[in-house]
Amino acid sequence: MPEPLRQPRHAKRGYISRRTFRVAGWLCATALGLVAGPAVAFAGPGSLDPRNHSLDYLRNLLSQSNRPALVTEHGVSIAPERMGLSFRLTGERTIEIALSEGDVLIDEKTVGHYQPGGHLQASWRDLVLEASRHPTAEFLILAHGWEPEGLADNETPVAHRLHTKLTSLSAAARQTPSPQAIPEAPSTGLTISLDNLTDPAALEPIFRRAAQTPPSQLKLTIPGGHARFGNYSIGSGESFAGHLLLLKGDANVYGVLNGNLATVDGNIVIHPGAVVTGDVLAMGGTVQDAGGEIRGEIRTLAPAERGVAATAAAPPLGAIQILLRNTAGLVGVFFTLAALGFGLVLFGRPNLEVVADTVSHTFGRSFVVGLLAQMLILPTFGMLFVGLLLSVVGVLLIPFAVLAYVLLLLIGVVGGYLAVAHALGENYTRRRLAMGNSVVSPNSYRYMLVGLVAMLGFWAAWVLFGWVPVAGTMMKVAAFVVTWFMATVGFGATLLSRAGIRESFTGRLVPAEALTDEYLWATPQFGVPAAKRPPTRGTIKDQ
Amino acid sequence: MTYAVPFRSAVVAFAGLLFGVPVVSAQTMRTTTVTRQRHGEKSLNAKIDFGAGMLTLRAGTSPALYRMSLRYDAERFSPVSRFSSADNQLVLGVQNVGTGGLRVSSRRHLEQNATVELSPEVDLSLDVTFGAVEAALDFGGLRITDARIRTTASKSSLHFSRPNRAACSTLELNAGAAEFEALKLGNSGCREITFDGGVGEVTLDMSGAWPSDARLIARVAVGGLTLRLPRNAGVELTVDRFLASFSPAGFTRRGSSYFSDGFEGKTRHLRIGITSKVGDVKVEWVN
Repeated sequence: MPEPLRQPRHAKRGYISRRTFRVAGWLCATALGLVAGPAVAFAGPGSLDPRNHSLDYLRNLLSQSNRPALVTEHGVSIAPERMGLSFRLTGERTIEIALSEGDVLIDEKTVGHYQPGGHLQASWRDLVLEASRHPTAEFLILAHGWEPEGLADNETPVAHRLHTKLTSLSAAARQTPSPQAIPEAPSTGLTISLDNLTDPAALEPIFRRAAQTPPSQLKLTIPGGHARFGNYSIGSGESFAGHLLLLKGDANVYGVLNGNLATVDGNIVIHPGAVVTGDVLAMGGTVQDAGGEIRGEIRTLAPAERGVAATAAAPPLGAIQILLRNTAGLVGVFFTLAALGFGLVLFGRPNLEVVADTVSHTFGRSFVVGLLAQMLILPTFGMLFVGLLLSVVGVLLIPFAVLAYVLLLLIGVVGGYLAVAHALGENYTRRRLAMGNSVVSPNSYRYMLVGLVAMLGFWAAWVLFGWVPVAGTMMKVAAFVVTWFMATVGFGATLLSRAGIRESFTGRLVPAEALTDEYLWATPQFGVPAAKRPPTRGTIKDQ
Repeated sequence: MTYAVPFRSAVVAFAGLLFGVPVVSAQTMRTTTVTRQRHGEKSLNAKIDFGAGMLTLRAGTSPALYRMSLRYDAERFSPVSRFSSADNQLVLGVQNVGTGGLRVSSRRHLEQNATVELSPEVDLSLDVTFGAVEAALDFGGLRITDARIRTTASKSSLHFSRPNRAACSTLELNAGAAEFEALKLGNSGCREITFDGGVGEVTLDMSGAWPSDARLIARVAVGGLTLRLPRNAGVELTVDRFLASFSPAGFTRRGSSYFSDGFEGKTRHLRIGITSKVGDVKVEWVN
């Protein structure tokens, strides 16, 4: 008996049938066409890409529903080729509008073009400058009335688009705490001096700390002044003695304030007839001089810019993080030096060996020469420069000579350092061989690696224990001194051996029988002719 | 025996070191403004010092004595604004803080900028110093009595878009390795202008409404110097050059100096001395 056919899952109750799905798809497509059609038409022939406009249009319809975006604050950026406005919206969103190098950008997407030096750019510049002078609410009113004139034909659509974008923005109402005086703190409590407002950035942390404390819990002492939460006004017949700090509120001054005035997350309006005898500071707000008298300086400090502000408040790195960071740095340096060293072995092995031998056999002299050379670097450079400057043809050679000098100096120091590493690794390997240990591949690459590991060992110690107070600092100093010492020796050896060309200081004038590298190159029996090193050019020993 | 597991562990550990470490912080950009109302001041000795970014300096439209709008990198600079009412000394700009150095994580972070507006109602003694910046200085409409402008590596423009409203004694320009242009210097009305240039392209536009005779001394080490000279002024030009080329178009040589056509008959006379080591000295005549 055949089994009854199973009912497909989508045919069960609660699932959409294929037919229904197809109908819904057609309906969606039709709706999309209806919506996108006018959008493409709206974009016009001069627009950049109708698809972008359609998508924006759809996005506006679906997400914003023509409701204005609420702006909590705005910012201005002015650069040689760019003038922009940024708006921070409620819900932590931002909108950025900018004219940059011929492009009109909204949220970094090109929506049109303008003529550099044209009317749209000029009008936009004026608007941006106005933005820097007005609080957000006032500026948005100005922006809504922005109508650039004398535009070129291709600028009109994009100007319309900018205007539409600006009119979609409106100022968000701020939530301010109910006005109240802040009680004085006990003698050991929080105290903020308003005597000096010249460095708002330095005052900001303590101001913010106070402003973020709930009003019911905050006790704050202002020497020679008062602190308040919320909006506050000084009436036209009133005289306020001392400094005044307002947290999360606006200050309206109609009367006289004998002192400094500061607000945190609030605006200041100095009305006609008002007098402030001291400085005025609005942190996270604006100061509007509506005709009053301010005898001191007027300052504002906007919040740290988005995207980078978080780093300012980031906690300091812990010991583990410092350890990891320094380890990564050390590993990076090691690999870089190893790569340079391998390159040197590969392409300049004879010279490297001569410099390394100079280090081994003339260590003290190399150090002295390196030290003297360091002292003569600048005078030599000066003489070279002046000499070229005074000669007729030399003036033209100055840029090349400077470049060559710096390059040679770098090669001398870095190459010398690597030669010291080579010498160190070679000596260590020989000793191991002399003790009868088997060493895999006792060649220059190995010497370089071993030497670098040894020389960077001091830094490794610092990486591991650098977080320890005092001892960490001492380790760092020790590592630095050792590195400098090695670099000095290497530099000196490079100079003595003329970058590995001159072998007078390499100890190769010693008779073959007295050489100590028989462990490496021959059987350790005195009097038996030793196998030679791979020949280097002009080896004196061979003569 | 295999070493695959330790090797893999080492690779993973190294990758962890590289990517597990938090990214070192980017720059923190701040915006601040500083303004002071004018309370009867007749003069102002202003010193403006700006290290890096874009500097705009111009006459203000508000009744403020000065105004600075500054967007700065708080990790490298701190704003400076000092005013002494006793002698009307003003210092504006930024000063280096922290470890310094240039760290750029995006183009946006280079947009440190300052806009300085000075009152057109007070006599100004100006001292402007700027480093790695693009500067647009428009002194038009200001009352400049004397000014010193020093720039190092930058692209700078000094423009007297309108005639100076005060009598100017000296204008000292010093550009290190820079692209520098000074436009409508005639509107400055400064009786003596000196220019010292290191390496770079320099344009000195001597056109404008000269209120009196003036003297220009220009010393250029390496680079091109373009002189724009007004046809309505009599120009006496002395050139001391080493490996520099110079074509005296529009001049007649008398002794060691070059004189423009109709020199004696002109109401205004410009006496120009040029010292150039290496580079071109070009002369352009403008109406």
